Amino acid sequence: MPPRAEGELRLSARLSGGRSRIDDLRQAGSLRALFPRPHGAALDAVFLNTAGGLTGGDRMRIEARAEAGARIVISSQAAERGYRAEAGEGARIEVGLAVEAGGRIDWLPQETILFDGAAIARRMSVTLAPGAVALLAEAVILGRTAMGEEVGVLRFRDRWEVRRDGRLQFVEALDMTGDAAALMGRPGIGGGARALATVVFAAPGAEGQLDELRSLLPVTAGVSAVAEDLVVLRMLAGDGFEMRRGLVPVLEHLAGGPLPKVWRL
Amino acid sequence: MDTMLSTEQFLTLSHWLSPAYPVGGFAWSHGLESAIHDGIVAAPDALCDWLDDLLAHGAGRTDAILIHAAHTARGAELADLAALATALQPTRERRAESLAQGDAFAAITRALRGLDLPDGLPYPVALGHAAGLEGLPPEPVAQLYLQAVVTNLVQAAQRLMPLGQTAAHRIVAGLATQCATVAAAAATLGPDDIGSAGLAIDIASMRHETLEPRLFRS
Repeated sequence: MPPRAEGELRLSARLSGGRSRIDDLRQAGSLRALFPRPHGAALDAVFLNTAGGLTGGDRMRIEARAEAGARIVISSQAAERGYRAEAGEGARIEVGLAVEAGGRIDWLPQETILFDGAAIARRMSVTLAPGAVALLAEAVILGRTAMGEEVGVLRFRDRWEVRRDGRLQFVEALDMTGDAAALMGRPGIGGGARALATVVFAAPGAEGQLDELRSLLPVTAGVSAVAEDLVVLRMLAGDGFEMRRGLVPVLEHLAGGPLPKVWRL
Repeated sequence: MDTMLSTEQFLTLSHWLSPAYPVGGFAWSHGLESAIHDGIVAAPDALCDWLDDLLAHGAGRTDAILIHAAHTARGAELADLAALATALQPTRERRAESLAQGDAFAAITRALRGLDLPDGLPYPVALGHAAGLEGLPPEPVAQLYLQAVVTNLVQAAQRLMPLGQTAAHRIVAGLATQCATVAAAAATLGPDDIGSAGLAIDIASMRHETLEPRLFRS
């Protein structure tokens, strides 16, 4: 059995001279961060998993903090791949995002592609100070339709906890365990889709984005403001390509500009 | 845990989950109105599948776990559970559906039984907490709650699509086993085990916000 991969990335950014700059950076194991030249005042960070995918036993941890007034836009070098895991040992991903007053984090990794037999448990904890902003987006693709891949049994769990000023505001608890193709074929689950995405936009006045977001959505998606400052969006699509077509305009609208360049490679 | 009910407990539980108990369930469709409008649920078989998904992969599974957890939660733990239950709802209408029914249940049950039931508890948390205060075992509470959810939604569907009484109740009866299975599984699980895959159900609830005209508040 191959040795399990472990990776840790810690990043914090502060506002200095009108730009967001790295305040602290730690990289360990198979996680690396790249910092392309920014085209705005935000700090652009691209992480990559040098292990080339996730399999049973892998442990990845990313922690990012935007200090007061600073903005970090975080993306991934490539789509993550979840490969078959041995029974009983899944891969674990932990993400912690902390945003101080007036700060902002855009968590925009590229898709996660799950292959037959993948087992992944992801946890994301987001803590927001008053006035802080977070844009969170995760898309999951079940196999690659163009390659004729079918995904059978999966163990996929994803849990997000978003706290504003110490108060628990939103919890995402996704559990897709079992015959993924069968589940996604069901009318209450995927309705035949092979790609799913969840977007959360937490910002003062987020509710005001609803009309514009609705105008961008296909019928296989929906959006709701669960609070004046928290909007939840869910999208289903036939495949990864269709998902991008639906998701990119939404993310660009909420990010206020083009997505990180890595998305277009 | 002993799941047998005394006669008094049986009648209390039956009363609490009777469609006549003034919880206002008939006003809410959990997004089903939108799913029917969009053609996702177009026939009795699809309705049965959709409700089965709700039970096994959606709010049914989550609510059954919440009922069990609320049964023993007190004080700060109860408040945390209520916050979690609310935070787990990904749509404005589902939060309203859950909190409105929770408050209505708490109001009538306080008046009838004098229980210390606070306002602001989502419905499964209020119900589970009341059951705990009354000494009703949680698993039958969850079983009957799930069947009441199914019955309420089948009745909603009858107003939205061609669905006669026999076909409607065939669906309710056919989902009884799933209600029992989900309630039994929840007995061994806690809030950390909560997880759902009811994505299309969530989307239907979101899309319901812009549905005009509409009969239901969710």
